[in-house]
Amino acid sequence: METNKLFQQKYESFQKAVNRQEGPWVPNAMTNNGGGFFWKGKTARDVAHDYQAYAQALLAFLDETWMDCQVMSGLTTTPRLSDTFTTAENRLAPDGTLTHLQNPMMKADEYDQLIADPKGFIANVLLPRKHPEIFEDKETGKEKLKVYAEEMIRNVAQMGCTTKYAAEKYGVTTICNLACALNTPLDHIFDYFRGFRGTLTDLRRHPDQVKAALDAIWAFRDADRVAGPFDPSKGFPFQPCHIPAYLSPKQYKELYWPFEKQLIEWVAGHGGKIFLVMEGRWENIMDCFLEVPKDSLVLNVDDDDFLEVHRRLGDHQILCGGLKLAETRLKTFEQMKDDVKRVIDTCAPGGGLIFCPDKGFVTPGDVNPTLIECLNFAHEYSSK
Amino acid sequence: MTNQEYLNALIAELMADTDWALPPQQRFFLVSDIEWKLLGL
Repeated sequence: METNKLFQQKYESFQKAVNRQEGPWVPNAMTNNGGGFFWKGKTARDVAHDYQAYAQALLAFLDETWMDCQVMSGLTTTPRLSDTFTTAENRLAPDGTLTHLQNPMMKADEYDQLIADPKGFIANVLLPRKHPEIFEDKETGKEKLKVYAEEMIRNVAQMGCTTKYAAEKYGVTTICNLACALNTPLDHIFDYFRGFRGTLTDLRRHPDQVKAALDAIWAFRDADRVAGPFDPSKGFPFQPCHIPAYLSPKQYKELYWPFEKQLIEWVAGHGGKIFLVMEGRWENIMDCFLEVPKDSLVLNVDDDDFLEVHRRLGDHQILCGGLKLAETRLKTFEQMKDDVKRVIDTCAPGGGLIFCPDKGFVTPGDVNPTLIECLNFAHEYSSK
Repeated sequence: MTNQEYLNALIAELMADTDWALPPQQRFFLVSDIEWKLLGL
C-alpha cells in the first residue's frame, strides 16, 4: 500500500479511537525508549553519527510489526552527553540501555532555601553539586556547556528525523508533543530534588515543608503557564507520573491531585488531552480521574489490571495499554493470544481504546517475537 | 560572585562566542530555563 494512504488510514484509526468512535481497527501504539535498536543488534552508539541510520536502526522492527502510532521513538540523552555528564540522571549503560539513575542533591534541611528562591537555590546550591565540572573553572565549564547545547540541538533534530521516517516509511503518527512535558511539583521533588527515599521520608517527618515547597515550585514552574493559552494542535502533552504509586490515598489527594487537576483542566479547557502515564499501580487513587472532564485524558495504564481500569474509568477517559510487556518476554504468543482477544472484546466496542504495551521499549529483548505477534494479532483481530 | 552569577557570565560568553561552530540561533538551550534543564539532565 502507498505509504501516504497507509498513514492516513492509521491516523484515522487513532483519531477515531481517541474520539470514542469505532475505526477500521483498534490502533496499536508504542513508546520506544531505545529498545527498538536491539532488535537488529544495534545500539545508539553505533548510529549516533547519522540521523537516517539512527532512525532506521531504531524502527527496523516495524518492517514486521503493525504499528499505528507512537508516543515517541528516541532517547533522552545522546552518547556524547552521557559520556560528558557522568552524573546526569539520563545515561547510557554499557550495553546501550537508557538508564534513569536518581541523583538527588538536595539535603533534608534545605527546604527553606528551596521555598524562598527555587531558581537561585538550584543555580547556587544544587547545580555545583550535580555538575561540579561546570563550576571548577571557566574554560572547563564552557566546554561542558558547549557539549550540552550541541547535543540537545542534535537530539531534537534526531527526534524530528525519526518522527518523519516513522511517518513516511511506516505510516506511524507521533501522538505526543514532548516539547510540552508536564509534571506536578511533587514529581519534581521526587525526580530532581530529594529522590525516592528522601521524598518519602520528608513526607512523614516534615510534611508542612514539603507542602510549602510544592507551592513554591508550582509558582516557579507552572502558575504562569496554566494562566496562559494551550495549543492542542501539536499533540498530547506528555506526563509521566512517577511518585503516585508510592503515596497513600491521603497523601495523593492532598499533595498531588490539586496540582494535577489544574493541569488537566488547563489542557481540557483548550480542547486538549494529556497523555498521562500511570506508572506503577493506581488502584487506590485512580477514581480521581472521574472528577475531571470526560475524555480529558489518554491514560497509559502500567501495572494495574487493564480490564479493571477499563471497568472503573473506561466510560470516562481514553485508555491506552492492555499488553504486558514482561509477559511477552516470558510467554509464547499462543499463551497470550486469549488475553489479547479479551482486551479487544471488552474494551474496543464504542472506541476509546489504544492497544499498547504497558511499558516502553528500553532493554534488549523488550522488542521480541511474542510482542510482535501479539501486536500483529491485535490489529488483525480488531480489523472489521 | 555567586554560582548563579558565574553561570550567567559563562553563558553570556558562550552566546557571544564567534568562533563556536554552533550558529547563535541554535544556542537557545543555553538561555531558556538553563538551571532547570541542567538539573533534569
